Amino acid sequence: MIKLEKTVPLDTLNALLDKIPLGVLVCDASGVITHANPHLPKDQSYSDPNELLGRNIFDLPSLAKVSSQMRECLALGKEFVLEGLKYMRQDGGEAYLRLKSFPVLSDGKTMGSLSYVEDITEGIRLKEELENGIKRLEIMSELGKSLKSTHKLEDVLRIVMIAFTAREGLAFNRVFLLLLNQDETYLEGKMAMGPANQEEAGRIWSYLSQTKPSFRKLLESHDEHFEERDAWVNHLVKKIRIPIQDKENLLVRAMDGQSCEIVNCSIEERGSGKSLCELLGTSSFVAVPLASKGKSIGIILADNLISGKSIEREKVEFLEVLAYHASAAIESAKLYEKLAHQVAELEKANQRLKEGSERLVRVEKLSVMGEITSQVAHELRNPLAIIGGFANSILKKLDPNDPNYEYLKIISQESQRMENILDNVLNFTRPERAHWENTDLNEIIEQTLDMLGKEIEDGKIWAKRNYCSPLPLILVNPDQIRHGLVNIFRNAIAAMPQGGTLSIGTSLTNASVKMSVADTGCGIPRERLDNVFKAFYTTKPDSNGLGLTVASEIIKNHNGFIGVESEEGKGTTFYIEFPLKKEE
Amino acid sequence: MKTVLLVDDEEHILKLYQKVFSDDGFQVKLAQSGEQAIQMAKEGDIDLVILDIKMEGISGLETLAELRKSKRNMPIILNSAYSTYKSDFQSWLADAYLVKSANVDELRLKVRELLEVKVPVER
Repeated sequence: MIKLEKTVPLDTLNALLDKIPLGVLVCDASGVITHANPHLPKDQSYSDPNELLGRNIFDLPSLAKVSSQMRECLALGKEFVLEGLKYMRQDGGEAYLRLKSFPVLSDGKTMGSLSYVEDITEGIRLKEELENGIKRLEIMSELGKSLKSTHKLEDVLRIVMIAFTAREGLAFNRVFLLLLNQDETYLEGKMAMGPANQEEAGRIWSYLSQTKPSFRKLLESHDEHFEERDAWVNHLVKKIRIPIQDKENLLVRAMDGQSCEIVNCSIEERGSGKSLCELLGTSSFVAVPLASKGKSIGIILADNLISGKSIEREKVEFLEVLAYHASAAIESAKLYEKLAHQVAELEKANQRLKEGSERLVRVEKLSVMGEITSQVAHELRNPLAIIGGFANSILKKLDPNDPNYEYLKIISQESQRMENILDNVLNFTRPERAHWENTDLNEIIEQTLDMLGKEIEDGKIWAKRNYCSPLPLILVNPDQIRHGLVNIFRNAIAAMPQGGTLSIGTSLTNASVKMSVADTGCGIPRERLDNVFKAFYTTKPDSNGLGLTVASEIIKNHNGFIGVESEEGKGTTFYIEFPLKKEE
Repeated sequence: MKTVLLVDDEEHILKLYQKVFSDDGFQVKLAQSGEQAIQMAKEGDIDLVILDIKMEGISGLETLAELRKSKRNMPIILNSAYSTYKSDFQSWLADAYLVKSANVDELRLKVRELLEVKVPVER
């Protein structure tokens, strides 16, 4: 409050007021302006403060908003301050004022008022800029943390798109992501985010305003179904496919220029810009190129179709910063994906190598073992033939009632059994000069059944055939396969001492010829099932325990597969599979 | 009575076959090596030869080739513990190839078959 105790000459007072580096406006009790100093900010209604003298303060358009406060100041002696009073500068620009008014008292009576007027536009602008800067830093920091949390390309892309659309982020209505394809020949629409129309937008916004998720939470929400939810925009984006050669294309140009561009659809009258505007159905959008280490990787399009808000120029600079970080994350996710793919390939190759070397070792072992075993087996054949031969020869002449008859019979049978073992061992290990030919599996089965005709008949076995015919030929060693099948069939026959059904079926898949051999015999107990293919494992007194081992080795040597299923009391089924050779 | 020459370097095999074929009513001569067999064949009076392959000295296959030079029509049976010589073309000169077994029935049948078929032709 200003009290004038002594009369100061008016000229002196005004001269003093003119020295104050702020705008000063003095009026009398009725509001008539008595002094305006040269620092008073000029609005459009005057160009020189002196023009204001004699005008009423309540008539000034710039101060219309404070008239009631000014009246109180003059009538009741109340001072007041107002920040951010908007006015139009002479040049037409918007500006903001800070106004502080004091009543001027004399003998307890209000003589008028004195006001300081200051243009604070710059300060407000700087404050706003600072706030925006802080907000952007927050966005970048949250985005950075989220991007660090994943290596998956899909996640990275989704996080970037959420940063574009979230209200706490860039607050665009819709965002479309386009990436270069693998050969870098086409720019292809990859995914998009945003509502299809006003209603959908309303639903999303009301949902978000209810749940109020934090920006970070929003970024990391693992909503993998957004492509289904945002079906319409995803449908749109997938339609975009632009050859990179098309240098006239708006997006290719933007990408080559590596700078953000705001596209105003109302002035895109023809060409790529117009068709893109039509496709997106928007009035304007911003194109943000993505590039990593100077190399383009794609482009992001964003618009405000629903709200209709124009895209602010000021946002563009920030978009470029964000695009830079997004690009780096996308590129590293792509590299990671490639790396992961290569690692998987390497692992596969390693596995193949391991299998190959195991096979090699097995073959090597088999061949060394084979030579030795083959030698031993042959050397054993002579003494066996001699022992068994004499026994047989004596038996023929011996009276069956002779006390030695039974013992000789045992010698004869046991030597026969040993010969069978030798047959199997030799077949198992003999470094066979392979005689491979393209063969019909059905035929081999028939030949084998023929060979076993008498055993099948004597055993009261019904051989039930269920062939898939015709079968493609498979490249096998027919002798070996017959040998293997004999062993499997004999095993089945032995399992049905009272007779039964031997069901043999063949079938065809894309990659293999399959066969099954099922008996209706006693079955194999679960705990023994794992051992059926092990050498010398047998539960039958008259078996040598090699038959199924040999069969399985033969099938494995054909790169085939053999498996077994059994149910005690119901029977056993063997499954055999031979791969079809791919044309190489 | 037909004469069968048994050629094997295993004494017990010779003994076994000698018993088997004498029981069958043949006259049996024994040779313990290829050289001896060739010598005996030259001296004549042999109707059929049962020949082992893996022997000390010259092998059964060489013996077979040598015997064929002078006795083109004499039946010769290769009788070996090995089946692998079947793929050796030299073995194809023989009239039959059997793998040794305690069960001599196959060998006996083959001998009978060869002698009965060949005899009338020679006559």
